[in-house]
Amino acid sequence: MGWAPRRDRSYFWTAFLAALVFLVIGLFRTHQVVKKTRGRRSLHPPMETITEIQLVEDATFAGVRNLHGRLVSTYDRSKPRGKRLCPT
Amino acid sequence: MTETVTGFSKRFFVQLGSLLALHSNWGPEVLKGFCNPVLSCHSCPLSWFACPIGVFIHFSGYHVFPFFALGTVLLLGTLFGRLFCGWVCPFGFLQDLLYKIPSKKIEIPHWTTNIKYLVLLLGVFLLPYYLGEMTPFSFCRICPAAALQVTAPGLIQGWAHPEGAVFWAKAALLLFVLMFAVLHSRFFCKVICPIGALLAPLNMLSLWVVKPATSHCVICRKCCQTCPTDVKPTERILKGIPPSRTPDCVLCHECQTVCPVPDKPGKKKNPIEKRKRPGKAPSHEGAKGPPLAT
Repeated sequence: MGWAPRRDRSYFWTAFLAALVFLVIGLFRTHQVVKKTRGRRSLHPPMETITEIQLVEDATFAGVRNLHGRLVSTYDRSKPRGKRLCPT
Repeated sequence: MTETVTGFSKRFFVQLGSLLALHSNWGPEVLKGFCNPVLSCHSCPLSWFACPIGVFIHFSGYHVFPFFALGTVLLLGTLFGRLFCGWVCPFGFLQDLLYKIPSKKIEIPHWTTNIKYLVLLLGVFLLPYYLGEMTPFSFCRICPAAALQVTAPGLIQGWAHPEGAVFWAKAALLLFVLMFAVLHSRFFCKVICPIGALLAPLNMLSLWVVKPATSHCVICRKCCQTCPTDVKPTERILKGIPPSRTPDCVLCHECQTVCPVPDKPGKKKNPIEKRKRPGKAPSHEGAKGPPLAT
């Protein structure tokens, strides 16, 4: 076991910095998703803002779907929920 | 690193510990926002982390670039390469156990190891991007880990039903993979696994490497015989390259453990080789293939 020799580390640092940039962008990025509402659909549905980490979490149980180019919540975020299964 | 403890390697205990710890009901729900680069279906209620493949498929369907998930996988991959495949992945652990079943073992052509890149490109990125995240042509729909962790318990409990082509394709792939895991070590990791395809290039630059156990290789090829992914560590040790600098190495460190001539201070020699006189010509008996030119 061990760390790579110093002469091998230039590619590592490039990839490592790219990973950090991706992580920082992901940490601060937010997404607009259409709120799940009951009743009639409107042209201007209520939107809510979620972080990318929330979007990752939603991806684990299809909590958000892409409907005609819009991200749409499939559940009411204001209500408490337990662990959910992914329908795929 | 992988010395045996009562017949089992330390890696076995780490794999077992990871399986039990990361697949238990007391895991906090908030961790599902983070990807663990191992093949473990996040649809399993016991799973703590998100599966990067499932997340990439959904993000491809959303037409959103997965900065956070890709950043996590890239960060862990650049630091540790495929160490998670060898030490943490529950599906890899299952394959390691299945390969211990006594049976005829087979070789597979080396070109088949490139199939996993096609699986990653098509099943994880392109098809979900064009057909949507719920497409039956995504990798998730046929994932053998999902079949084992979610579909099989669902069938037993009665909430999953054996119907549809997707179900049978998933079941067939699971059986195929389990059967080949008995015949060929880490078949799925080498040929199909899309997480392996993601992490494989990072093995070439990762900070964590398997250092050669010796600077005086006697070409006994014990490392080649022990290697679960058959990546021929001897060839790289002779060139002075870390044995793990190859896409298919899962950094199990078995090649270090079996080396009969480790030159690390304080490390004991393999008891079988202790009686060898220094300077004795290496024996190629039992080696796979012809000896390497030095």
